Amino acid sequence: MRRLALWIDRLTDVFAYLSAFLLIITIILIVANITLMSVMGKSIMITDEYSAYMFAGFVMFGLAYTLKHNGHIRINVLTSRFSPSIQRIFRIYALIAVLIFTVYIFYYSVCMVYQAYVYQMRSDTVAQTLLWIPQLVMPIGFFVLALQILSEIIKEFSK
Amino acid sequence: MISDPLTLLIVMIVVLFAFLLSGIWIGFSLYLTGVVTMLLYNFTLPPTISIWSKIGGLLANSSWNSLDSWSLVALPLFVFMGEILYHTDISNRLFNGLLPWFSKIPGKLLHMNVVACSMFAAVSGSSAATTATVGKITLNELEKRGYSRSLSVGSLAGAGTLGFLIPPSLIMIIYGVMSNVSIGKLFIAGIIPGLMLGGLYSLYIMIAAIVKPDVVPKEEEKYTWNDRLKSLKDIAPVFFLILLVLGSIYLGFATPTEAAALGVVGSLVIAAFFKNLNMKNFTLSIKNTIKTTIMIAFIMMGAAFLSQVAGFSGITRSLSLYVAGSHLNPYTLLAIVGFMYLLLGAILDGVSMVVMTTPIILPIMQQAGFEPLWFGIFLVIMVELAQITPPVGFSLFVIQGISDESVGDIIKYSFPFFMIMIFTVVVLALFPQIVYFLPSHMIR
Repeated sequence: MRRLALWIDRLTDVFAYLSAFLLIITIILIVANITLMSVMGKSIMITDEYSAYMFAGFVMFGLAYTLKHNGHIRINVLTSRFSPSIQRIFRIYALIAVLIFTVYIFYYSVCMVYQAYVYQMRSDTVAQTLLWIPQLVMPIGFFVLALQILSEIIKEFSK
Repeated sequence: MISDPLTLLIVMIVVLFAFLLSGIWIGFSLYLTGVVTMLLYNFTLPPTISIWSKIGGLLANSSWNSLDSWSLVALPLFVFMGEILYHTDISNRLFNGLLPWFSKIPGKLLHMNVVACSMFAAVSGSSAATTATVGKITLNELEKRGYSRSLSVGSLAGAGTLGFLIPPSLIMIIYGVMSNVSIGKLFIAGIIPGLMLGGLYSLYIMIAAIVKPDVVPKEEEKYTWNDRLKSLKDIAPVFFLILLVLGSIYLGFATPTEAAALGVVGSLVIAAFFKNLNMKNFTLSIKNTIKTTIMIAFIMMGAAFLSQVAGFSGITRSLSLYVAGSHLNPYTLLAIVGFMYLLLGAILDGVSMVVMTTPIILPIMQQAGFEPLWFGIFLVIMVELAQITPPVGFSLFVIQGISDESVGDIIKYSFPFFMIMIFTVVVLALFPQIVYFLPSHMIR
């Protein structure tokens, strides 16, 4: 089981690299657009739209990494007053609750992408992007997040 | 099953706090509260659709819609810019560059926190980053020179919160996205209130130094105009960045997101210029950017879902109607809302406070005659107050981390500055023109 947790942690790191990559690409795209605009008066028409898609990917791919490194904040003014064993119960309860929720939202984000694919939905911009392609980041992100929560549960039980 | 929206609102708030206080991450708490509220609401659904698939569809769509936003792209960019600057020598340079300018003013170097924070706030979007970057140099330097500890810590706590009011500001980006107010206008509207607040801090320091001369060390540090001229090259990079980011927004040359991308490039240039640009700092900056941005974005996703649920079940509308029906004086309403934010600020961080309350409170305030732009500035100052209110005041923890003072002492030291902020809010409420002046003169 610890082996599994280790593998999940590594997968999460890979997705964090993807997040970082998307962030850098976004910066390059926007700066290139500004330069083109001011030098040649032309615009990369898709900058706004694709930056937003990349932002969505940046967030979804980094969700698990942020969880792993305690980046998501929680309120512990109350729970920190309990004894360590009760605190552990609260931690496990929180992990299981969010695992169930993440699986639920993962399933329905798959449904959303599937529908966008079946009906060949397109964005109402110049590029007319097929929406299911950028939307894919949602199920992928929630899938990795669910795995990472599982990994945290394994780590909690093997302490 | 509950069909009365106001009862549902109360249940929703109770459920939300139950999740929050039991230690579930804030973003997840918001999502879960939305799900529970949907389940409790008395829906009339066609028999072919189950309530679970209705909720699931809403979840997926609202999450996607809150991420697919060009304005929000500014968020990671400004965070990244602040992170790069934090890892440069900039706080040292700011200190040295500002040093020769205060030897003649009562309170002398105690003004350092206020001025350095205001300047750094103009290139950074967050109060925590401003407090940490400026404080890591000033607190030690001021103590070494024998300045009053209470005033140096207190003014850092107060002035650090300018990070949110003086643009760029993460809170303003979040509020702008949630309220559809132009982020560029919010940024520009924050400048005068921010400078006014900084000015009042300095005024207080001067008065304190005149009334109690022992807060400032006796010995004079002499500086010539030559020193002052030389010092300019240390502060020039910061001015260059301020001009690049705020100037391009004010002149209508760039949207806030584009200005943020320029700011990232500008701060990389400065880091290279100071010779602080290496692989270690760069990866560390990116890691922190990922964590900070995604923490905020996930809370926003949860809040967007919850506010959709509140709209769906009629909570938002009923509450506005209820408040409108009670015929409260707008200023009484404002005082009540302000007080509520002070209470909320005691357990929530600024971002959560803004995303949770904006969808419900803003319609009420609009109905009472407050402009969304003005309310945004009001909200930012409320968030700043929350930053130094115990037990969850982020600035307090940041200062505790760099100064070894106890939280209790920091609160005591920052209390005068807390009162100055409240005074500023009252002034802005009485003279809203202060907020509108600059935005009405923008190029675009």
